[in-house]
Amino acid sequence: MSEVIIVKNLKKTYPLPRKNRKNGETSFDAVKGTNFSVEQGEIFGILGPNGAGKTTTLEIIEGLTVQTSGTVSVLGLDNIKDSSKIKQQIGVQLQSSDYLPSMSLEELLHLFAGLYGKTADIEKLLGFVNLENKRHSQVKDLSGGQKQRFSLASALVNDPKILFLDEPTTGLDPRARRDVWDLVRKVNEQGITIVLTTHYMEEAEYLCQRVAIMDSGNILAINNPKKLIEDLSHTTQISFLTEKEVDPKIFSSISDIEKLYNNYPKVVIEIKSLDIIGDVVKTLQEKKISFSSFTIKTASLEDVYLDLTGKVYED
Amino acid sequence: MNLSFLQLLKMNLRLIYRNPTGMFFTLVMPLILYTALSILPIGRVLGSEVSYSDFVLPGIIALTIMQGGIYGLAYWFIDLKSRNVIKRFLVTPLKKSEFIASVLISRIIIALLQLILLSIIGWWFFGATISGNIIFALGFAALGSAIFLLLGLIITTFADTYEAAAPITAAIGLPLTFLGNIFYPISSLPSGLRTLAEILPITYLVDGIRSVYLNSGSWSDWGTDAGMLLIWLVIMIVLNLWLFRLRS
Repeated sequence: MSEVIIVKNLKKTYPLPRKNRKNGETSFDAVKGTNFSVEQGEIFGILGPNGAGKTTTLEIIEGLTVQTSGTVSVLGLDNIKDSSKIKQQIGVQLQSSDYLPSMSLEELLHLFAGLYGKTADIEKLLGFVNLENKRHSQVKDLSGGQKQRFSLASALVNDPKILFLDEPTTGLDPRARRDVWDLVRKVNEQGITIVLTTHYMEEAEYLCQRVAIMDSGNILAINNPKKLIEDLSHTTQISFLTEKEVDPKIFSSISDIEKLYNNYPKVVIEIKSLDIIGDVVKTLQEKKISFSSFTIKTASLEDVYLDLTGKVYED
Repeated sequence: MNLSFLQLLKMNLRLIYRNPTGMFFTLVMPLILYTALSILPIGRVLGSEVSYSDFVLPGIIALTIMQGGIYGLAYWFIDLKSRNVIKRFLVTPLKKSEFIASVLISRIIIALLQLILLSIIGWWFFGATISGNIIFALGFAALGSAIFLLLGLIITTFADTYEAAAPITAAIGLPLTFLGNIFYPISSLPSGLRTLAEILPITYLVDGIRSVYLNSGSWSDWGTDAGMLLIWLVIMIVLNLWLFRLRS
């Protein structure tokens, strides 16, 4: 597989507005020297809380912002020198962008296609995002989900090789979010590489083949979301309440327990494999210990984030 | 260059004529103002040989052109900027310079239409004198429009929101409106204000069109006006190259 985006030692420093200066600091490092690459054909996610530097990173790759130092290559082109050649071959959906007023969806798509020197296949584009009956409507008359779908269509007018989505489902209801996810997968199935930022863990887990976890301007880990979770010391946590205080030694025959917290009446056991759950229950029954509120929690990217940063993830 | 410049221009014009409030202020309001001033017996006060209707027509034309820049363009641009509409264009191969040029030229075309419309109404209903060649008047309209549009662009650099822009446009617009030769000649101003008025671009825009319409319309009548406006145009271009940013 070939790499379509290569980012090396990327740094971006913004001057701080006078009123936000503290302790004599005059600048703010939004991105602090990140390295990563995106493979052709994958869905690559940049995941992190607000202010992590995701949008800045994306805007540098898209040619909207120039980095302070480091290099970015997109489709073999330099992001500063060949910015307009790159723009010709990528599609971009901005975090919150609006469109020119008093123009219909059809007119807007024609306009955007024209900017790339192409002719828009309106029926195909609007059909793809399920808005074929809205071609004469204006953006202001669309719902949040429809607007986001239209914005996806407008990012596809130039048949891009890479599609950038900045927080594609922020502010959408679950149903509309699902629709966008389906579309993103459909776009990817056509061979288009997708780079997206999100602060939703489940979005990254559901969509991305690889995720970069970003926090305060640094990338902390890059891997397949499932791998990231598997690499945790524990992938599953079981917990239950007992009537009487239990002696943790009763579980000593079970070999694969990673950690056990006995905090009467609550027992928490961290394990790597789900097979052990049966052994735990059997042991409890054999010892005639009655228990309640038995819960199994499989680890998610949230636990990965907690593990990497020591902070609870808040989106 | 992908989308032809002409298409971009067409898009900009379409945006202007599809905006009903904008159209009201660019076309209907000046007509109402001009009609009112022509009917009211204000002219007598000035005691000149020229009818007030004749006198004020170039003033209203210039006022409309000025407003198109510092109100029309500035507010429109701030609105687009605050809703990230412009950013959406910047991720396409469209060059910033092409985008700005299409916006400016489409609005200069509107300024020329405003001059033509007001002149026709003036000539048809109020018997306005147009003694010189209207081509020169169109030249003044284009020049003046460019100056005030560029001034509007500078305002958008200092104001990101309508609330921030309103006091700036008022501070610039009011003196231009009342000191700038529009409703009465600057010779009737007290000397201090007159000195100020003699610097303002609007003074020369009004005087230039007025010279073409009311005098013989020869070069000697409006040469100074054209010269002063060209100086202002250069100042505005330099200021924009120095200050203007498409993104905040």
